Amino acid sequence: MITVNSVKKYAGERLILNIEQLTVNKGEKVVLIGPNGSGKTTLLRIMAGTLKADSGTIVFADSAEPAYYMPQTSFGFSMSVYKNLLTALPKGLHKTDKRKAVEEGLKNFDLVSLAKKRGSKLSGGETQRMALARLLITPKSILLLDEPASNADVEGNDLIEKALLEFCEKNGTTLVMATHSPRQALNIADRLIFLQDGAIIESGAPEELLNRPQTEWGQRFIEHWKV
Amino acid sequence: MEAFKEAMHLVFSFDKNLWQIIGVTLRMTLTSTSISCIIGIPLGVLLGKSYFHGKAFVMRILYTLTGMPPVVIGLIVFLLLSHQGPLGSWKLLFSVNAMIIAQCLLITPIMAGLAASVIGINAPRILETANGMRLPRRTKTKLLLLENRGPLVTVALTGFGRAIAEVGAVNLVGGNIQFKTRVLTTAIMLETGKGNFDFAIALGVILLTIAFIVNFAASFLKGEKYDYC
Repeated sequence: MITVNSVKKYAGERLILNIEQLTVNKGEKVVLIGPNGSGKTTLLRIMAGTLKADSGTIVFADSAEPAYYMPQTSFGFSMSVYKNLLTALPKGLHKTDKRKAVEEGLKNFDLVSLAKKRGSKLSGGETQRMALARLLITPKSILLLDEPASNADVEGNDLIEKALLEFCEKNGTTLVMATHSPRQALNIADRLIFLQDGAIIESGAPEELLNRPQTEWGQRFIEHWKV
Repeated sequence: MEAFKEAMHLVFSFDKNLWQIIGVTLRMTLTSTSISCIIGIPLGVLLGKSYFHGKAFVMRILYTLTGMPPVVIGLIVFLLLSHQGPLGSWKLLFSVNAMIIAQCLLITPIMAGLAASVIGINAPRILETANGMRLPRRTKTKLLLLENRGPLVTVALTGFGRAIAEVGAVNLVGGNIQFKTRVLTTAIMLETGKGNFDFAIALGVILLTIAFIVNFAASFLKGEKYDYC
């Protein structure tokens, strides 16, 4: 379980994140939705520990393992895609197990034909697929993903959604993910959270929010999804 | 073309004076560049990837040092190593080692400043990805260096270029002594002063050729074929 308590972050004088209370249960898939600058990335980065909050606490209970995080602009290391996936594996693993894990990762994310290509030479969508394959190469308890399919095409999007859902199902992974795609949010989320100006303005099960949006932004989001 | 022919003639006639000058130049430049790489690049990488209170001030000092006039550095080293100076007992003045010390003081801040600037641009994305993957510290450092190997080789080359072309500081602390501390740049100055232009131009051509060979060799280090893991 992840508990976010009174977390605040300022950019100079401006309050850019103000989360009073947020709890994510073990195995739950929470999707953060909100306009640009609403605080999705800031919240994820603070949860991942790559950015320090000015106040408040984040507690990861029931997990000895740290949370794994995929930033919006994941870096494709200039080695081959195959070796990019290898870097994420623990050093002590046997060579055969390593090869098996990498080959499975490549297959799951349709990267087999790109295995020898340099990670730095991939397109935006390919880089995201590779970054996700790299992250999901071993089981994880907690995943924090920042728009993991924002550059992917329709097929790439479907592939990422399917792989992500299977991974979470298989490993009982807790997922917190930011996206701008209503379709992706609804396909993945157990719970949707609407953020605006750094604060949670609405939260609930997707069906609940779809039928009864409480805020103007929520209504606009659902209209957009229906279109 | 005449100067080039003269240079080739000088090189292949195995002129003792010329080869002595080339030898001292290479010894001085390669040693000072290597020492500055060992100190300056790690310092720059550390500064570039770190965030701490007062970093802007440290960087400002570093960038100021990159603009230090060579003769001022030469003067400082001269005063330190002169007979009555604090390091006079080392008896290094008018030696190649004194020239190496002066060059290290000159190019280490340049390398550190450039390395910090290069790493500062690329480190946030690389480290955010690596931190998110929870990679061990050693792997993160390795990735940071390897992903920036091209720009870091360029930093080393810039230092080498500055060292081989330097004349003010080495003239002051080396004294331009024949068969001892005379290097290509100080020799060019001397030969020009004597009106011996052909020889001076030939030395210039040799200087440029050395710089070209080193740059050419370094381009292999920056090459795309370099792989790891």
